[in-house]
Amino acid sequence: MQCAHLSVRYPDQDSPVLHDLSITIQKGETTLLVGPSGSGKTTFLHVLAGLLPDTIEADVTGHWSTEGTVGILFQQPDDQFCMQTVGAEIAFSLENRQIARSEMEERIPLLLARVGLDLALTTPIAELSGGMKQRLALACVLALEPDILLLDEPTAQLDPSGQRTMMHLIEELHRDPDLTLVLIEHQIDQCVTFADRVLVFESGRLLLDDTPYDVFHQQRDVMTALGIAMPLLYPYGLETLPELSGQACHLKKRPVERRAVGTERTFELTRVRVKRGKRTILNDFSWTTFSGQWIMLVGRNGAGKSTVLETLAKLLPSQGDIRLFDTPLRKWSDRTYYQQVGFVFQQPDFQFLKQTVTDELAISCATFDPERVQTALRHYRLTDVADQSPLALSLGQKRRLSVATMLLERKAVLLLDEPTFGQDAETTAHIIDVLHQAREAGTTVIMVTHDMELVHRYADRVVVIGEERVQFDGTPLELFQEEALLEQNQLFRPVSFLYQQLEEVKHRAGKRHTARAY
Amino acid sequence: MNSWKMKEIIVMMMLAVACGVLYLGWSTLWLPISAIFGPVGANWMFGIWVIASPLVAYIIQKPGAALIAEVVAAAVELFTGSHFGLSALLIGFAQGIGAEIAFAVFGYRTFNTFTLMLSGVFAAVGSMVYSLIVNGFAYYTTTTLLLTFSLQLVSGALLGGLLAKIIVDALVKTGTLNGYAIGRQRKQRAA
Amino acid sequence: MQENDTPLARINPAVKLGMLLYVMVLLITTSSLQVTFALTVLAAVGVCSSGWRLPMLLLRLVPYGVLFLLTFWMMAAFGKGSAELWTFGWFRITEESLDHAWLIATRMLAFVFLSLTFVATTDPTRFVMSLIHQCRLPVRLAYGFLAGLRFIPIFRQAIRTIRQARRVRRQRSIWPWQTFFAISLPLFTTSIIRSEQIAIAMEARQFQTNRTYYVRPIVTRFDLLFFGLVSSIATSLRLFV
Repeated sequence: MQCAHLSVRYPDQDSPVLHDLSITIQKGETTLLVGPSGSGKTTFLHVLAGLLPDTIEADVTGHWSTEGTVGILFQQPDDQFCMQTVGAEIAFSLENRQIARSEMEERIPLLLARVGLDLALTTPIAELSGGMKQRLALACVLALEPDILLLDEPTAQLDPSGQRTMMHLIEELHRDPDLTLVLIEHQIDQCVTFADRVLVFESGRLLLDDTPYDVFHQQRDVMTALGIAMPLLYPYGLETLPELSGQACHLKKRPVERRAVGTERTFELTRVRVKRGKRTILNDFSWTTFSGQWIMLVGRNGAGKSTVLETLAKLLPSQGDIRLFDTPLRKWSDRTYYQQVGFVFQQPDFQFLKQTVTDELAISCATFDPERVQTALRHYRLTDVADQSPLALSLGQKRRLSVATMLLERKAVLLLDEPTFGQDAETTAHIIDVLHQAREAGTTVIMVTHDMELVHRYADRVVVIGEERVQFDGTPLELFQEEALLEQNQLFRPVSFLYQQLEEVKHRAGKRHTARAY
Repeated sequence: MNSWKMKEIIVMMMLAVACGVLYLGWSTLWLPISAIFGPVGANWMFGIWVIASPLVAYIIQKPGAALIAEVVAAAVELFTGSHFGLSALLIGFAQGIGAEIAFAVFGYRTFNTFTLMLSGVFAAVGSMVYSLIVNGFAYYTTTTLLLTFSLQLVSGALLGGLLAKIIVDALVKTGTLNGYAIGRQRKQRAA
Repeated sequence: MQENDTPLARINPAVKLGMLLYVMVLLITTSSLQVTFALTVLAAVGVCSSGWRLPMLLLRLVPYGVLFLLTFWMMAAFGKGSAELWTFGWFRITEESLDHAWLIATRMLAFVFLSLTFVATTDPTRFVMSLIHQCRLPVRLAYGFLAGLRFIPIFRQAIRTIRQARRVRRQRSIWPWQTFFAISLPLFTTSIIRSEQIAIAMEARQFQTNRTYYVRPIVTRFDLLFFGLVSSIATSLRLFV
């Protein structure tokens, strides 16, 4: 597979996404592509997949060729299917290759087994979790019997347990000596160990082309300057990480100081039953939250975390007594309630109401004040796109705008549904910073998340939801001691916690050692 | 069909299905609103049910888009298991044919406010023809019939054609339609 | 729509659709109340043998009941006729209008029965595949349609979320079409973006019209027999009642 002097320009853009690229990839190699967003990695993958210029319109110059069949797995699990059921979806790939009906019967179960899915062929795709959908999508690509497998951030839209399973599958595929793998992935720790080669893209050019060790260790400073996500541990292990390395400094960052919990009660729930449709999510739920508390809700996929948020936001009916500031929910009018309570939805697109970013911010102020809108535009780094439609923004900009609209006026409670999910490091840091300030100002922040690093560093209180009840309610450090509970809820301890724990053990051992010397 | 790009086919289907789902919601408004305006008066709501044709045709600008879009939107009702499914399919077909004629008359070259509103009007005509034959509208008194018909025509033009124009123009501003006929047309005009 | 294990579910979907549409055409072309009534009974037989449980069926007929009353009232009070029975304000019920009201309301009931028969016994995928093989529906359209179909529940959820967001942000529109505009804009934007992704994914999986088929409904002798039987019963009801 190779390309020479490859340049690509999309019709609605002035500058090319790829400049004069010359790369050769050998058969059986596993290549990892990294680079800042917009650096042309995905476009390069699309070229290799043969999607340009026919399927995706673009001006392509230069020469490129691939030997063998190419399969590509995309980022969004839900946007790769066209059939209703698991069996028919895999069959779709086989139909395209004109495989006989009788042979499909044999191959479909084998393909499902290969991605570790134990499902009836008639299972509707709609019933699968994101992780299972992505594995199904992989099975569909493998049904093409590709010689070259391209993976475009296959785990970016999955929860941690889905990410792990997917990564194990990819690692297994890598062992096939005939299969060429090209992969874009931000979970670098999990794939750097088996990658043969790393290509670093920057503004459509190839910046580095080397082994993982050289790129992520020798050239660490270059990479950090580019703002590329770096592996947490590589090339070391948890135990061998030198104390003075950059990674260690990062992992050593202690959780932010827990504020003394505010004394003012915000929510007070007594024996509440939370339901979604006919399904009970929480039974007999009694709970009190305080001002200035940062609470994170965690739990496995489909445990009903979002439903709990929606119930607190007065968007779903519930049984039992829910009070905000000692007033039952049903006694609040929508007008006054939503002055106190903000809600940031998982998909920002659905919460925008106006045609421009400026208007969107303007209607979020209680009284119109152009000065404040301008300040907010600057603070959330949206000045450049002030006159654009909110729906035209990038993923990160949309997320920042959706948080901004809820925080222009001070809220007593802010509810957020996975605000950092699928966001790059920069936007995540920005959002967390803003939420931290809100908490300092006394807002109760309640958010659903899968990111245990965030839980470790920022949560005052973490609540595990599963099997119709609250399984745990306490501090992150307490939670991380509960091994069985974590496993049962498909939760993982963050690397920073593991490292700090190890440090402590070492530290104690060191002390004992010195004591004995005396 | 061969001149259609795959993405044009999919975007037509997805938008038509989205319209179909919106129709379902709009239908739930019908009974309460007809309680206020009376069953004849509530016909001002009619136009929304034919919006799929002008909307999709304006974006794709190819023969057949208007008809297919309306039939698919109507089929959503069938596929969600509604007991009006088959009737909806037939009436969708009648409306789609009407809407399609409006664009065919102009050789599929003119897609502006006028032709979009015309397609809404023709969809209303198609719908009326169906209702006359099937739903016994011919048995109504002339006054009722004329009142119903004229309300549907106006509504088809405004809530069907004009609203579709407004929505698509707003969609173009988001940049998502750059790869389709409507987006290219805009760019040429700007250049 | 889904399939069950009744004999009606085994019939080729395109043949079944053709048969039901034929009965509908017969209903449309008659103005005799007796014929309409007889064909409605036939449709009722269909719905009863399509595997509906009675309580469920009755539940499904409730919204129809409301519409029945509305249609009946419309036709009775605003219909043409000379033999006046009752007038009040601008309502005017005549013998003829009452007859017409019965006719149209019964015809609609028959349509409802036929639809319920179809939706209770037909699997969407098999139906679309049958349209490809029996009705020459273009393959790319058919698969595109199936891809769109997956999004019905996803769009419903999206609309629900948009409404919730409007509530939280205290946005109310005066006119319903403003609400329609506000809901449709984000809904359409996301569906356009996702369409593009799906089209790319399908072509990347080598989608083409030269293909084999996993589900390939054929027309059996049983189908033809069934079609012949039902259509001749329906035709004789139409002609001789």
